This record gives sequence, structure tokens and C-alpha cells, in this order.
Amino acid sequence: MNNSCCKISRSLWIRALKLVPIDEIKVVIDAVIDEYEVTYKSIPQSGLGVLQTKDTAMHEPYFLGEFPIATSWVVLTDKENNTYEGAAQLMDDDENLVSLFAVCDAILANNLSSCNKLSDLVVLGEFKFAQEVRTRKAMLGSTAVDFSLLGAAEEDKENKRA
Amino acid sequence: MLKQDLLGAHIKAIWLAETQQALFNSLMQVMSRPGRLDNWEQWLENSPAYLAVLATLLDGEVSLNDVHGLLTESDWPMLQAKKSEVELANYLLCDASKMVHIQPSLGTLSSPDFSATLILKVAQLSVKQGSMNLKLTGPGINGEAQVAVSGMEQAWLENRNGWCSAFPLGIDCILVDDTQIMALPRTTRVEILEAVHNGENN
Repeated sequence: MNNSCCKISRSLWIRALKLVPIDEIKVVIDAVIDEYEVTYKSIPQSGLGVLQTKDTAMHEPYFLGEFPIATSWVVLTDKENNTYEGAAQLMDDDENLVSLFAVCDAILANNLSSCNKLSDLVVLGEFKFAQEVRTRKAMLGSTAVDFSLLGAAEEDKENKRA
Repeated sequence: MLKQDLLGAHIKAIWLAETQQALFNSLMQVMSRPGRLDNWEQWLENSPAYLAVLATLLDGEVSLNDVHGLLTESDWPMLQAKKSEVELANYLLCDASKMVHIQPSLGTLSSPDFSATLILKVAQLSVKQGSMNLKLTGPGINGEAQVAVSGMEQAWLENRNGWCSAFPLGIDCILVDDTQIMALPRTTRVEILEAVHNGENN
């Protein structure tokens, strides 16, 4: 059951928060973190990830290259011994940052205090992401090449020769 | 650690990279010098020594079988290792005071390194006296070494000698008590000099 104060899908929270100034997130977390004991369910780690895909000619697997990746899985325990879990996975090499986002995930997923403030930041991040997408689409659109015109030009040349 | 500063979280020493580097160095030393005992007390912070061994050696790419259920559920996500059948596991964690009939992976002739490593929890390791006195010979030992082990079924060593009889196939053993660690690589010949069962010598 989704009891989060945030209406945006959980899978999009970290992507959105990554686009918000980190200081704004830290202010929210600093205000509530003392209410909980933070422990790690698994050790926060950063390293390099590889993505395997297949080439389209021979269908042989190859690696696209390496990218930085960091993961964290936290448990927040309140004064009444209730526990709340959160996790995050980022294309970044900062374990502290990913742990901070894991705490954000725990707060948002479990509707803990300051959930609304974080939810506002998620909405802001998603707005920024939509803006970026629009900008990229516009850039792509302005550089688009209509190859069908090349075919028409060739036909014109051949017609003239004939 | 910065992580502790940021979120106030505490991570036990055995999970920190700098501790694991020191413990890995120690593991290499005891593997190279069978019969040598290293004391890990300063690193453990009340964690079991076998957990420190696993924390140092395991990651998400290897598999583990906890034969006697020594681990807690919360240990598994920290170790990240995959749970596996005994026959296929890269690492086996066993309570040496309880013998079970298992067949660990011995590797293949082309890849003897695909064999299992056994982490055996014993009651006490000592160079002086214990319920079972062992004579060790082989590579890494100047002549012979003698160690005493308490809280270990003799059958473990008898099986171990059988598993290691067709070198390069075999298994490597790491023996741990509460704070100490000792290794029996497959190249070590182990002879049981004396075993005491309920006060009777065998």
C-alpha cells in the first residue's frame, strides 16, 4: 500500500531529487535526522558499473563501458522502536550523497516527518527534469536531417541526365 | 568516518575498507604460514571472528552456504553474497563441533581455484594445548608446526584430508575461534597427534 505524501511514483524520486540543489535537501534532512537512529542494512558502496548489450550485426555481447554507481540501504529507527527502510542507487561516486538519498526515500516512502517538504522538492526536481527533456527535444529537433530529401535530389539528377 | 558525521550512523569496524584491508593482509599471512595464529581482537568490536573473515572475503559475486545457521538474517545483506547449495558454494561456514556429511566443491583439474573455502568455527585455537593436537607439514612450514584445536570434531580433519588427497583438487580451510584465526591450505599435510574425547586419549 502506498501511504506516501508524494504523488509522484517512487521510482522517480531519486532522479528528481538529484536535480534539486543538495543544500536544500540537507536542510530538510538535518531537521529530522535526530529523531531517528540511522543504521545500514547493507554497506554503502560506490564503484564502477558495466552495462552489457549485444551488437546488432553478430549478436555478440559487449560492454558499453563503465559508469560510476553508488548504492545505499538504510534503516531509520524511531524512539518507539519502529523501523523504516529506504534505499537509493545513483550514477555517482559519492557514498554520502547516496545515503542521504536513501534517507529521503525512507522518509517519503513511510510518510515520516518532513515528508511534505521532501515531496515539494521531488515535484521541483520533476519539473526541472521535464524542462531538460523539452530543451533536449528542441535541440534534437533543430538538428534533425530529413534524409528522404536526399533520395528525391538523386532522382531529380537522374531524370535530368535522361 | 564521513558517513557517521553525515547521518550519525555507526558502522562496525569489520565492515570498513581499512579494517578489511588489514584483515586481508592477515589472512594472506596465515595462508602462507600454516600453523600461524593471528589475533584479530583489536578489529572485532564484539563481532564474531568468522563474520570478520566473511566480511573480508565475500562480495556480491560469490556464493556462501551457512551450513549450521551461524549467521543472522541481517548479516546477509551486509555480506551481499548469494545463498547457494553446499555442493556449489564458493564458501562454506560451519560449526566444527558438529559434523555433517557434506561434499564441498573441490574444483576441477583445469580450474582448481573453483573449489570451496571452508570457514570452520572452533572453540579454541592454541599453540600449547587443546583437545586435539595437530602436526602440520608442507609448503610454508619450516619443518613441522604443532597447533592445538578445541571444539572440533575429528571427522572434519579426516574428511578434509580425503578432500585434499588429489592435489590440485581440494579445499582450503580457515579455522577461527572467538578472536584468533589459522589456515589450513590444501597443500598442508595434517596429522592428528592426539585427540581427547571426554577425558580419554585416542
